[in-house]
Amino acid sequence: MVSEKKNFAHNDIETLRSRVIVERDRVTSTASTDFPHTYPGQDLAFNLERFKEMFKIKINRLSKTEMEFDMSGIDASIANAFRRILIAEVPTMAISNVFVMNNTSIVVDEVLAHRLGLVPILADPTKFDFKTKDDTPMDTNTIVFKLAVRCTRNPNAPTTETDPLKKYNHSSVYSGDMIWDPKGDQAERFKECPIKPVFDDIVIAKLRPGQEIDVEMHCEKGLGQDHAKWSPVATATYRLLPEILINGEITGESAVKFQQCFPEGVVDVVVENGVKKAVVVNPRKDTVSREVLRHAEFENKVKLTRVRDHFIFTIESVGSIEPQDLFVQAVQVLVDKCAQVKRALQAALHSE
Amino acid sequence: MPSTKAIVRMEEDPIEIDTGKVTIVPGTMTEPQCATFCLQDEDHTLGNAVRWTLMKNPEVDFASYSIPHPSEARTNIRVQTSDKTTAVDAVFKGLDDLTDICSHVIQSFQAELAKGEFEYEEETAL
Repeated sequence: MVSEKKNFAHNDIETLRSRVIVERDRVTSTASTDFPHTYPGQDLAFNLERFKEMFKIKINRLSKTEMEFDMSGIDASIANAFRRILIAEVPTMAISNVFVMNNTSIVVDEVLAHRLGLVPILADPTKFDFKTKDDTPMDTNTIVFKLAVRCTRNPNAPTTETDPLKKYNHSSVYSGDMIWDPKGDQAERFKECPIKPVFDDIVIAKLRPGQEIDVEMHCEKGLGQDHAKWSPVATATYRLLPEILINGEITGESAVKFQQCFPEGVVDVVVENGVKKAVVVNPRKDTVSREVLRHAEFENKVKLTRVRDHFIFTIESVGSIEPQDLFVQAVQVLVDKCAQVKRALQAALHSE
Repeated sequence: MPSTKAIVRMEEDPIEIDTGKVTIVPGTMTEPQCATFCLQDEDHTLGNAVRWTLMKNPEVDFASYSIPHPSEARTNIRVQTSDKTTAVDAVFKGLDDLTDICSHVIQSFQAELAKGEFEYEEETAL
């Protein structure tokens, strides 16, 4: 996966084209220049076959909520489009209307409604329609939850008890107290995977004896660009693969000092013929702190760059959609966008 | 100008088309080789990606995008091409290229996922 090693002496067009150069006080060569007519003798026109050859994807780590993968051979403008779509344009379900029957807790209605809205809901958004302003709530576009909790004293608790969790019943209202109220054929449709909050232990409010919360909540399908509660990810980020180039050799005590300029595991000190020598073993672990560039002894001995088309992508899902599905959905959103614009442009030309 | 193939395909298309989605900014298409397209409800996500595929086309002399005002959900894409093509055809090619790229990304990702050569953590500590 690591791209071909670049010689230090390279300060040529190839380096400028394919690397972002990290200097002591600035970052240069940041913009991509892979366009036709930019470099003499290089045909950089888009070619699907060549793209397929160059494009590589490798998943490093996957769990229910997190995924890290390497994507290389693609431009930042498209990788960034995927990232932006993940954050703002992959639809999810979230509570958007709260009907308050009774709320005597210290959390006021609007704050309570806001907190409820942010609770991630485990429901497949592809099985629901968007609800427009004029639509009435139906089983095809709305999920209903009910939350009815009343705090009471625990009669069995000793009088000396001070822990509210033991002294009272329902002193904390949790997301797990939200009860799904299936409408229409929802109970049948979601038999396999009943709709519920992703986590049952999110504290929504705290109550004391006599206080009560009784609300009905309506979930709708929405996009993160309208409100963060509809964002399916906690974060979706990428960073460029760091690269450390050494000019000649760094030996002796310098090698140890050099190693200490980087996080653990980036540089190894090996002993060759009784002489210590610094070797870069895993530049991926580097945070590109640029510490090494502060030392005069390493001047012109080391060069820090990043591979411009190698993205280390991390997707952290809030839990409603698994990260591997999220990425596919995000790319599909971009495909749909293209199709939509294409159709609209055809229509615009047709009507002229 | 629209190819006949494009029109036929559009009429067969059962999906409702939002005609206000794309407009050609009046006065910008002085000849078929240049035009500014205005995309409603689009932002950097599509604007920058299409700009890149447009610039990858050797027949495109100039391509750029801008969002004229941050409180209006609009993106303008300016395209100027050589005599061998037209601005409209360049945009169609740009969108097609982007679609091809995305399809390949999905395919490669799913192939990689199916291979299963990665660390899988059953449950992360929450």
